[in-house]
Amino acid sequence: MQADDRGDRTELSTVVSRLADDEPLDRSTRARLVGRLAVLMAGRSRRLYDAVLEVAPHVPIRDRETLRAHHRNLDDDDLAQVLIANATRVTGAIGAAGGLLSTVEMAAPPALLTAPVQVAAETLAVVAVELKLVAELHELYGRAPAGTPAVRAASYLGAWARRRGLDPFAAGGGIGGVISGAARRELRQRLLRRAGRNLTTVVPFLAGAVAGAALNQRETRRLGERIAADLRRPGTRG
Amino acid sequence: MALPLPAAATARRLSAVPNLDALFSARVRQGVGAALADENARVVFSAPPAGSWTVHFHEGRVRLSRGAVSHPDAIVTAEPATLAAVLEGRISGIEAFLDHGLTVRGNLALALQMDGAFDVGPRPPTHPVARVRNVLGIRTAYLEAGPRDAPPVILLHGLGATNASMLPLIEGLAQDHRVLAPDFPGFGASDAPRWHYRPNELATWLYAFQREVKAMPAALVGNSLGGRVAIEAGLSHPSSVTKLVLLCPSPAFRRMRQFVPLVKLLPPDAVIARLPVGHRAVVAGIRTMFSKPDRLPRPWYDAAADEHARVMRDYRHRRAFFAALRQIYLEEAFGKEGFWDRLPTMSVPSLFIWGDRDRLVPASFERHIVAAVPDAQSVVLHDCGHVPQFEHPQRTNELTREFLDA
Repeated sequence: MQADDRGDRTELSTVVSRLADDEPLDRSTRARLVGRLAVLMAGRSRRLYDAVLEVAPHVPIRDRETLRAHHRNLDDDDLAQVLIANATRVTGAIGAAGGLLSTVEMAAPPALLTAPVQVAAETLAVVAVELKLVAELHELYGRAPAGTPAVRAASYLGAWARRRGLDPFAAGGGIGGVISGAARRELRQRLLRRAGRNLTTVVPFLAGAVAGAALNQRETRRLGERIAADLRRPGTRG
Repeated sequence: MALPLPAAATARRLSAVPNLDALFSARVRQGVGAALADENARVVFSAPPAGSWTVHFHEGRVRLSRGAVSHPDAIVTAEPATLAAVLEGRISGIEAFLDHGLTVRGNLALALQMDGAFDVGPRPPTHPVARVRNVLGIRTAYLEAGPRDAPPVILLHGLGATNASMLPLIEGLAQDHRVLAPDFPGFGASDAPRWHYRPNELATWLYAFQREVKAMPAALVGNSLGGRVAIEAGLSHPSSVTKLVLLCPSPAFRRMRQFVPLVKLLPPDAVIARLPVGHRAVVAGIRTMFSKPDRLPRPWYDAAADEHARVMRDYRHRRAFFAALRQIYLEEAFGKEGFWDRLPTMSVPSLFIWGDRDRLVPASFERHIVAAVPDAQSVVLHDCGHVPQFEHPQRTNELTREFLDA
């Protein structure tokens, strides 16, 4: 069992890395990855919140040097815009991929009736991409929190939930007891709201994945702009 | 483009227009029934070229004004002669909607409640009347038609729909049945409690509804989710059910069970946000329910989309929709509580009707149903989607009647 679990965790990291990567993926590959993420997370957690906490440390985060090396000609603000644009494109593509179940089943299932599956899986995937954006914006502006990767992941989840840059003067968060009850409630509410919004794109009757793409793009862009604006202000408390 | 009519022709045409002013005044003077007693709403009736009228409901009172107010709750449009026939009780509003070009925009449930709300004179018993009852503490809206002492038939609508989706079956069956078409809790004009919306909850409510309206036992005709609830009633309360007609009922998923734990992560309360989906997208979505969507007139799609959007504006109804949708996927398929393992215990005579082009509940379920309930009758309609009563109303009516009368 433990070996299986380790294998799942390794695969989880691979799947999250590929999903959150800037590199373009074709639609069926992306749908397959979202489906695989759903399979890996199904049964592992009892709440959406727990599932996100589990995924968070697997999100690959490039540090400032790596980001700068990828985009030598851009200043920090322009580079932030590139990161936001890339994440926006990826979450939009996740919203447009749809049909993840048809990638794990022989026959295409009825889209409306499996909408809750699509929404749960898509929410996890989108949060992973947005978490990467939040974290890399912090790295870019030299505002990454201290601590282990797990502690940093929890801090970034807090920033994601609050839609605010991290306060460098505040105590850091962390997985396993360090996240306060209030922060947990905030994260839960934000996750539900996000899942609910994604749900609206499949109601009524799965009118089209285009709506999902547009919604994701709008949400991700807003998140990125808010966090970047916060981080550009030196010493701003979150 | 219409050519200008000579003066004499115009005069002849207008003289043929019934005196709708008088008819409206007479109806409004009679007051409204209990179904509309709690409504605060404005309904515009437009009958070009005769004009338009607004009926105002406010705290149990009803008032008429000439002309159309802006932003009414519903707009009913019809030829003057059609509107007159409805106001005089010669045809029902539903009949006019289905057969005579009457259209409704906005609050369809309100328009249905009005049909018969002014009904104080003698009208054919087949004309539906809107009623409300308190069932298990839930305000329950329903349509009723047919002789009160005739055998009862209860029509159960599908997910995201209302009793309006069962309209094509009402008047035909009401010839010799007492027809009741409720809005499920969480749908249409009924209240939306914070339930899980499992089939057994809705079946328990249905049992209470039958007791409340003294329709025990009754035949059940259910479409989609309504079919699933009807099956549950047949399994849980067989003595309360005489026969089942199941139009594309939504059964438990036999495969894709691996995502059940994932969907459990998503609570029904997730649907906080209002729906940003536009009218055209909703119409496009509804059209996917049909094999040949153009069989149905565009105004019907508009009416259905308006009604869906209206119901979904309310958080409690959005939550109910999602909870019911979620339950369809989460329902246990096998085991002691599993749908497919319980189904062979069904003792109520049943007729299943499927659409060969149903993309929501594929007709391929038929073989599993036949295997589980060998005594059940099963028919697959050719060139039919998920809503046979609208796409093939005559055939669906015939099959239903034959089965109920046998």
